Amino acid sequence: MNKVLHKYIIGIESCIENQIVPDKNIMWFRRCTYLLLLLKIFFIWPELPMFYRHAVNIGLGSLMPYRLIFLPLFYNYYNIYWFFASAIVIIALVLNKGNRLLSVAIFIISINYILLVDQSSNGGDNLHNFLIFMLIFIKEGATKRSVRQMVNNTTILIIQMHFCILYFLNAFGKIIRPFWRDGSYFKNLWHLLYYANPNLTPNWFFNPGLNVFTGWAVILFEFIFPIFIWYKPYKKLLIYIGLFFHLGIALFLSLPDFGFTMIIVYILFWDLPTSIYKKKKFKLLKLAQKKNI
Amino acid sequence: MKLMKRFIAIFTIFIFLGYILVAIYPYTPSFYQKSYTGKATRKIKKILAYGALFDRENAIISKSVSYRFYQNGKWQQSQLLLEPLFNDYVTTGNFAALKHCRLDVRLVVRINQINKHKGIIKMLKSKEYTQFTDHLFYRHNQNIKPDSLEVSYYVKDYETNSMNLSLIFKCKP
Repeated sequence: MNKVLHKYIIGIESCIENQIVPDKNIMWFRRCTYLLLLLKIFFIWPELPMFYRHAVNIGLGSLMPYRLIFLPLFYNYYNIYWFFASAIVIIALVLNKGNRLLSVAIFIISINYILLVDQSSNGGDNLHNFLIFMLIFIKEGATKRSVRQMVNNTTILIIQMHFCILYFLNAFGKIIRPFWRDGSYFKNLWHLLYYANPNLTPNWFFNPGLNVFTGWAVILFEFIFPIFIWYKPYKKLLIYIGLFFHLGIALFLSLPDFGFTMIIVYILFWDLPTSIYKKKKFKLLKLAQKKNI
Repeated sequence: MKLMKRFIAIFTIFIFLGYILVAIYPYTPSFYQKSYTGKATRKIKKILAYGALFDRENAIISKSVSYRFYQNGKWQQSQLLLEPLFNDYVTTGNFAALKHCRLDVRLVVRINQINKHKGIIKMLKSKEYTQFTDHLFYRHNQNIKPDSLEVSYYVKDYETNSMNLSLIFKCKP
């Protein structure tokens, strides 16, 4: 037992020491996550009075930092607060490379948003909030084998595992439901009011054969993704399929916030190409080394 | 440094164990789900949005809600609650309208469920009903409390293209 546990610990140790997601990915991941929050803050603004009033009515105000805004003291100032919140997110979007204080502030703003739209939120808002929370522990510019690097790796590994397990759970949850296996889920889904976008849904989507195929394709993708995403030859293909899949959810099922949150996570799986400048620098370095020899 | 590495590794293992606990929660026996740990796990599961999505049969039932107010001595014309908001999103891309539509769906589904399980009297006394009417008057009636209100909740059967009445009530708010 002890040996097995030790083996696991060693395995994870090597993972958090060696699994390196480049700063470039982290930077784009942070930017996209904060940009999505900013867009949500802006887009919700026209209905802010209604959402704020509802949040106050259901008694969200308390002395917790993320609930302060719902206290009577702020009843007349929520627009100003929202303005400052968006300004902070913009600052974080432009400048933040892992400043903990700023990341915590963004997390509080994200919780404000979640509480505000709580009754109308879907899983996407919570997943997005989870990403913002995890970004508190990620800092760009970590040196190799430093503690900061290990914390970065651990956090990224947790996010990756989170989404892999989520895919697996979804596949399992779907395969045990008969209405997913016989295609009736999609048959009903394309008729679903307030979700299926009638302007984008073509007639051939209602084909029964296609509904069975789509149902099984989704289940298969969700089973395959968490296993094969760790193998380089399949990575790109799976990410392309995933992009297509989540863009479909965002557009056809009117769940843009959920679809884009899932797409953002792919940045952590994607091998971003090294810039030409870096490639040249690397070649020059190798040449110099050879000459020295 | 080595000690730190070991500490982070053990911490990560604990996190993964926690993940497994949350992941298997829906398949655990009911006594666990009712226990304090079970309730805490459910809360974490909700916060993390962890679990199967799009797997409830209820989620693929089309609803339609209409309402009308009695004010200024007469019943006003019946209006659809959800369609205009969703149409606004579909035609203009207004994300706030989509979120508003989702809020209205959630509020009305909750009162319908209370009515189904506990009856109309308990539903009319529930805080969910107060939340629904408060929102309805504020956002759909220019913050004016009407003398009376009628709400009809339909379930749409797309195969026969018919609307089956699920809930209807008239009341003085």
